[in-house]
Amino acid sequence: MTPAPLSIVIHSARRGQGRVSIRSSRPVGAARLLENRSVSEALTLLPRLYSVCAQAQLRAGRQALSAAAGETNHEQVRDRELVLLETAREHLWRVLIDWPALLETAADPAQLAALGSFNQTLRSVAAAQPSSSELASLRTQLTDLLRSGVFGRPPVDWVALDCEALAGWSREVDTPAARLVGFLLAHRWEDAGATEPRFLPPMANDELNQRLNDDESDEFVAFPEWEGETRETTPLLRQQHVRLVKQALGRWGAGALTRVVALLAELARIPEQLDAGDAGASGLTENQLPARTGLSQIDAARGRLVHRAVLDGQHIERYQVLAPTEWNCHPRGVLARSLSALDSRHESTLRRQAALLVTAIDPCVGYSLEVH
Amino acid sequence: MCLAVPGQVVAIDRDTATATIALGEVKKEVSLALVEDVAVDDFVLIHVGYALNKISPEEAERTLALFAEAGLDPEGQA
Repeated sequence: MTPAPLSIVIHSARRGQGRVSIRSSRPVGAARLLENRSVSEALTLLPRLYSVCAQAQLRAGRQALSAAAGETNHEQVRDRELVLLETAREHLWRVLIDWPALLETAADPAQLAALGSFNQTLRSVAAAQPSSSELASLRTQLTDLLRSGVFGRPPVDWVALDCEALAGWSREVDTPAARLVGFLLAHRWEDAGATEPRFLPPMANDELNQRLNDDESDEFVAFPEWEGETRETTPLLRQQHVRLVKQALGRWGAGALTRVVALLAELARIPEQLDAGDAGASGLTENQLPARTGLSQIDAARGRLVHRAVLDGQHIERYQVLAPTEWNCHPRGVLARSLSALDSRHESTLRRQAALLVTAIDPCVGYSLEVH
Repeated sequence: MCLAVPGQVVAIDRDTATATIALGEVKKEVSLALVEDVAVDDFVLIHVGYALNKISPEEAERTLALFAEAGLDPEGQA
């Protein structure tokens, strides 16, 4: 049997740093495949290679390559909207497929079919130049799915809840999201895996460029740290200022329930952002990097995605991708620290809480989990 | 890294909405819950146990060639 790309081992008898070991066989250097190719070839290959988050990769690639060519990237609002819709699809996958599995229940076939249909429409719309009416129809599909399969009410009403009302909602509504919140509250697992957050701060392009260009750049892409620390880039970082998330963070810390609430808050706010034409900051910054070098930083479903390109004439001399999973699943990163904080003496509880945290931090690749 | 791998459907179990997918020499069971109208011999992109969408045989071939060029083992990414 082929080993999973991410291998996680919890040594339950140990304490401190040796308690959790995370090993990865993810191909962090795959972007090198774009080297010695033309810009247009690279933009064709990027979504083919990274097809799960193809829209985010394509957007980051366009920005980095335009900047390297010294061109202005006239980014379309629809490019940003497609990334948000892709983020919604990835989060819905967790909520409608992974969360029922964590609760040891079957996923709802009707909601799976609705997610499948949303996924197919998104892929076919994104493959061409999407029209406003196609994007509007996707937005409607998403809002319906969120209302019926996740929140049981308009998403905007859910975001307005406070922690007390969240408990009431978890009892009133019958969706996987409400059941998971109710389960965490009933088992008193709200703060399972809580650790002090070490959020990834904004990274200046010139400093980031330097890190991606020095002798240790391969090590940085595989095991990134910033300002001497491992860093977290997750929905919790992005949603920490939303009232409900802020309250959850204050009450339960950065543990299982707060992470679940942050993902739901991000999901609930997407239709509003799309309707307002506010698909997030463009991510475009003045390129103050050396000539022929371009760098982009955008928010993908799992966190901050960085692309860096160096051109030689019409061809790519160097291409690097720094993915959010590398920050979050660093051997000493947020996933390892959260798993180390689990303290149940019962193996079955430990295993279940660990699976919950892995799903909440969302490594984007298959994983194996062993508890010794 | 968000990689999905192309594989060919060799068998379908309609009762459980699952398919057996050939990934080179290896066969893998995946869920068909997210895709419609999949038939034996179709190519699909798979990711962590789910078929994401159908792709043409040409697209599958191009993607596998890309993986081979990058030295990626499709079985290890599925």
